[in-house]
Amino acid sequence: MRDPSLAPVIRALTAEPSERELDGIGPALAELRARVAQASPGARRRRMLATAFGAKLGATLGGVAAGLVGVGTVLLVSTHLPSGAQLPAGLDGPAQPHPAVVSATAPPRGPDANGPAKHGLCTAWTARSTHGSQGKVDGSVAFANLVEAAGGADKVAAFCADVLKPRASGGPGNGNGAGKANGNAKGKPNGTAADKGKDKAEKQPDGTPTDEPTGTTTPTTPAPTTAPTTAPTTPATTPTTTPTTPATTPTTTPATTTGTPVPRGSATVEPGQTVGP
Amino acid sequence: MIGAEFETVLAGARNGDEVAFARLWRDLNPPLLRYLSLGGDTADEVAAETWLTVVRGLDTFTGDETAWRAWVFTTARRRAVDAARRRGREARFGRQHAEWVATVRDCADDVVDALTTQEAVALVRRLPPLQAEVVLLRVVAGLPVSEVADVLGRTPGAVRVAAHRGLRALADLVAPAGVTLAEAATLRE
Repeated sequence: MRDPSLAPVIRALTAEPSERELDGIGPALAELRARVAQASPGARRRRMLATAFGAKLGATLGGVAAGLVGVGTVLLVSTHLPSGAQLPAGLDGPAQPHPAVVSATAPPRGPDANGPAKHGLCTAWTARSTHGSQGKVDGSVAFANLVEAAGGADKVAAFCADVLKPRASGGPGNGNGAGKANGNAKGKPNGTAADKGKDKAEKQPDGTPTDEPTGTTTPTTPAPTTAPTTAPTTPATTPTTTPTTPATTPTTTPATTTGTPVPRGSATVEPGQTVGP
Repeated sequence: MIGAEFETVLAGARNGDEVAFARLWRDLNPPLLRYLSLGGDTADEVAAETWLTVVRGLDTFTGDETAWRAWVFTTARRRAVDAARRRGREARFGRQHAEWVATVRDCADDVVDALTTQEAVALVRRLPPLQAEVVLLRVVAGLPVSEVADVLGRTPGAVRVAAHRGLRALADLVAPAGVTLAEAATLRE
């Protein structure tokens, strides 16, 4: 790296992000939202501060805001609030000094385990118990609330008994479906793809890769209450206490594979693909 | 890099704070795309898959920002290998083994003074696959040697050697006549 002739290459490799590179957060945010809805439907609305569906506008303005205030601020393009008028304070412009920091450092309250979040919390708790990772709950405000409401970690099962039974008789549940049934995220995935308008979004209209047996739907899992939040596709090197779900993805093979990539020529240097920063 | 606030930001993202998550995303998506460009034109697709996997595994991750970056890039590499395998199956090529990194040899003449990021990545793609990966993980992802070794499943020694050779080969690429730009400048004087 000391060779001075490398300097232009290193500089280009580490150049500031281009607009294109900051486009496309939509599917990931949708997944995050679905996951949070699963764990605690009540907490979801409170915590949902921004919704940036990959529209270039959002990314661009988000980038401007981030550049100005030094935090990752995202333009709110809400598809959930009926009128779209209830913009959370601090997201309607880059003038606010530290919106993200405020939201990130506010002491988390977590969902009320006696309220509507109870079902989600219980489901998540049971899922964790099923996978033998109760030890991981210390850091979770949501679970702390649940334990408090139940009167102790050993009483959670009893506390949850009433909300979990109906779910169990409902057949193998799709967690996302349950969340949407609350009306929180109705039609959201389609909206994502439509707003996106890119083939990227069309390939994953619901934000779920088709070839990946993740825990989003777990029809073959013995316990129907297994929540997808229990990390279905845990990378092998992750220091984790969570075993993978029964539907283990067969894609965790190491580096060398038997596949054969197609030599694509110089795809990255074709003029049509060049997007300058 | 996010720095001192990383833990707070990660905790926020884990709790579903979308602004916090967007910060993590914006910090890593550009280097992720540059790294995944090694696999060809599927980088966008693979990056999107990577983030879905990352979101699903957020609760299982523990560690500091370096560990976080290593984890995300490890995930990205797995998705890239998957994508290369799929692609190979679709194309029904007879070759039994290949790296996911598709090297290129037909790069246009290199104008190093005004290299775009894409052109720079294309240059790196002309290196042998391991060297190309090591260079990008070191330079673009900013990972320490030990983390690069973990991501690639190699020893730190092998990573150091590959980095050294890769950078030397890259220097030769931008100065094909074996004369570095600095030397060329000296010669002109």
